Amino acid sequence: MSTVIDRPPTVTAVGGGVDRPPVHERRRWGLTVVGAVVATVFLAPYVIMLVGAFKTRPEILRVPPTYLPENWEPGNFLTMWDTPETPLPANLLSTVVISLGGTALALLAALPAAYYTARHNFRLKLPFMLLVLVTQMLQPTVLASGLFREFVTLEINDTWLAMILVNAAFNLSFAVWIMHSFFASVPKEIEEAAWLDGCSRSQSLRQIMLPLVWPGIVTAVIFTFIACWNEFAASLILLPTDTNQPLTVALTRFIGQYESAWQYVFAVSIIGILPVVALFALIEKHLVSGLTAGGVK
Amino acid sequence: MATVTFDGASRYYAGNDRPAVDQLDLEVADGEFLVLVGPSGCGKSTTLRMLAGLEGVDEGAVRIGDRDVTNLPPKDRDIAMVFQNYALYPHMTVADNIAFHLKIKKVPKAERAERVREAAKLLDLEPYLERKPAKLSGGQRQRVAMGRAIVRRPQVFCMDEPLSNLDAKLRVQTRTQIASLQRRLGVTTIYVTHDQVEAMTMGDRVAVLKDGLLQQCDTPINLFGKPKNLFVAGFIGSPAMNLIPATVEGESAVIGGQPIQLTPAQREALTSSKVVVGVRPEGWTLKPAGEGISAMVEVVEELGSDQFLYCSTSAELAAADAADVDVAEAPHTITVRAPGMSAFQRGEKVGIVPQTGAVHLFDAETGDRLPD
Amino acid sequence: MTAPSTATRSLKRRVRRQTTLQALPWLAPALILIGGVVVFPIGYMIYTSFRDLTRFGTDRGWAGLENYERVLELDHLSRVLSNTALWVVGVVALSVGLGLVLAQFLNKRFPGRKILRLVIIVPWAASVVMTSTVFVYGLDPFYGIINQFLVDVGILDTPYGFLKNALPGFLSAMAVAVFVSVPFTTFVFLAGLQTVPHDVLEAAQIDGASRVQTYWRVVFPMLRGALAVATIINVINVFNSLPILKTMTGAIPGYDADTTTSLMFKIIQNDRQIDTASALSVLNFIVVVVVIGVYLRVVRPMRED
Repeated sequence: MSTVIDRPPTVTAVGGGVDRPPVHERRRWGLTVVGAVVATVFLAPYVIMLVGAFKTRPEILRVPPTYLPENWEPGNFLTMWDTPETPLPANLLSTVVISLGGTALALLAALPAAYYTARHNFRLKLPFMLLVLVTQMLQPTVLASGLFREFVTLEINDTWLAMILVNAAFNLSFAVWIMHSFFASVPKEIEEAAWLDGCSRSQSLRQIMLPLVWPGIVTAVIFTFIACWNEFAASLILLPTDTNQPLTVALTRFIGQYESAWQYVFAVSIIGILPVVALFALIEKHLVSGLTAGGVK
Repeated sequence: MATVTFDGASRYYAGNDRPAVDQLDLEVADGEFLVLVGPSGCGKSTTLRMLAGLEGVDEGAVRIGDRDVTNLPPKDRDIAMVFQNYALYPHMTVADNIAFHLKIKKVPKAERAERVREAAKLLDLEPYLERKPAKLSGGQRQRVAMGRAIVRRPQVFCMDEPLSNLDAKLRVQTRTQIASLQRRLGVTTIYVTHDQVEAMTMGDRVAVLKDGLLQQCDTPINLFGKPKNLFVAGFIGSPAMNLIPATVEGESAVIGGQPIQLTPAQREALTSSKVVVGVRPEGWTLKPAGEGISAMVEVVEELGSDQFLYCSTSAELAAADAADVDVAEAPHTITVRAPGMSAFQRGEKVGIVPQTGAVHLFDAETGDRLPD
Repeated sequence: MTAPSTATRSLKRRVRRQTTLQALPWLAPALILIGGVVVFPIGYMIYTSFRDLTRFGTDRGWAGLENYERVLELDHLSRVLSNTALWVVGVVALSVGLGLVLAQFLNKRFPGRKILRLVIIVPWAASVVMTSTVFVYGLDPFYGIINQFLVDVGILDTPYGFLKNALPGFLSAMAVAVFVSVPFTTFVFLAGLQTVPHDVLEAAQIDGASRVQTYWRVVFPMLRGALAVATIINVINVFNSLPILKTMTGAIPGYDADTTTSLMFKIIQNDRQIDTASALSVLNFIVVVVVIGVYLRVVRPMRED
């Protein structure tokens, strides 16, 4: 994918003229300037967030506001855990447990399905893949009341388990799709060669297939993890107890309060965003194909 | 080392009425080089994969030596296979690729290294042992695939079109190398190809398949000299045998005014009055125009050592051609071999006569060869 | 060839049944998860929409179409419906338009392009709730830093309470929705641009097409698939979006800044009317199903390559 995009587009090259390299170069740097403006727009909210996380409470509520903190206050990252609005340590734990659990469950369910559908043809393959695809387009938001009723009936409402199930189910399709395409890209003869070389099915899966589809598995894991991490709507309905709520829901408790503790909102947000963005950058290349199930090629 | 036996082996695919391999009976001797050949979809690869255990056997049995392997998984069959796309493990070096089986079988490290070196030496792979497959040329990859097979010293080699991804020149070279290597190692080998030249030059025996059915399994000489039916006659040999439909009247069939005598046994075996007369391009004698079957040279194909003349024939032959005879490539033209650098010209009129002993006769209804 | 005997026919049937049965253990975990957490709740939701539930969830029996009637009789329904239409059409149209431009820009080669690609990922990866809170803070008329900036550069005379009233609050929420939708949209178009073969562009140049002509006559038609995907997936995402409205306009009294999705959540959370909410959810679900149908029709995903 990146090799194609790294190629210089001829449209620019021809337009610039080959015999005037300086003009050409200047034009490119001109694009860089435009790019910098675009980057500023996309980063601005997060810069505000970062800066706000270092302001003291009086300063962040000051009228008129300051752009940069007069006193940098890194202590927010420590004191926020005791803030009265919400039990933040419990919320972070919820987010982590739900994300890890949801990711593990999604992977466990998706991996065998992705492998089997990539390797075998059977009559129910198309209906199955269609079902998976439709799941991707459904979101817990639209089913919130049904999920709520189901979990109340099962008496697992307001538990981490409920959210682990929801996250795993609704992110299953991306995991299936992306891993399916990785498995399918390994010629089946390679696996057959391993069998003939004396491998059992599990040996060939571990020693041959796993190293080859590893990037696909990593992509699935990271994407699912991030989606769980950022989930909001279902948690809002299914987790009424504050200590069970993930960070996303906990943050909304700050808002609408008189004199919100914005410095804590932002400090939490920084912690909630940084790792996720770093992980996301790792899998950027495979995202589109997984999200559109081959709709764009 | 071992024999290989297919005993009424069949394979069905879901959603297909005809079996991919239909009641195959085939016996391969110890150390023999057997080639499976046929057009695409004839079941030759499926046959090989049934032997390797990569396809199930729905009916019948497959045996290696005295062992019934019909229901054994591939790993327990002691078979090495060379795939068409080589199927090298992309994440392993050449050395690790070759040594993988030995590693799985827990062969001690020292012996492993020794055997890998041996195989690499045999195949001129020593300089590349530490490279990954992606960094190799097509020919080198092919040799790694061979190395991975021979290092195992298996009971049977399976080769599935191992040369089809090489360019023409390398293919001819490698053809000879594989054949001589196999004879040196003496390992029973089943080799699948769609290229009849490969089949004829490499195999001790060649099995011709069509639509999942074994047509004939014989030495290259017999396959060429005594094809058992019309399909084999047309498939083996290049350019293909001329197959000319004719009607038997009395004791002979007549093509282009030339009577072809049938023996009583042949007339006895006929199911109708229709026969197909087969003459290979080199089975004709060229005569001046007016003698034999009159023909006109349409195209001259000069190969240097040989010259092939594609001749149109009389209206009578063309009419016979239109008769409802199921010959794959009905001869609108007749191919005739002439000595290389002959002076034939396009448009020239010539006469052709089949040489004695060069005539193959087939029953037009069943397609079977008539007794000689 | 003789007709297949009964024996071979039953053999074939066995072969076929085997392959389907063999698939089951591999698919079972996924099927159970989808069945239990996606398909079953759909059914349960539809069932609930025809029941009469107390605020505490006690089922008082069959309600017929009462819940649906209650939804249709909501005073603010017409406003919420027009809000929803504006929300979906406005956000998707702007996201697609900006995404198209941005993708075209990112497809050029210039120093820093790779960094820009990474930067654009940030709003996509970040929690939408967290992103929205920045705007809630920044647009505050007193201590809001964005307000201050707009005053300082002269766009506004005095800070403005963007999120204090329904209309400006809703429009601000739309702007944030566009902001978080553009990255995904851009990347879909970038993937689409990569499918445009290089030689086709060269051919267009040799044919004497100008750069504008090349784009509209050659490149854009080849982006139709990406356009369909980006539009439809965005429609689903934007229609189902809750966090932006919840954080930015959730505090505004009344329902003038609500879409059907945020209204449904208010009915669950504030009014605790799961039965009415279910009826509204069923209506939302029908919309989503129609969009999915369009997606399957137009995009034909899962084409085997």
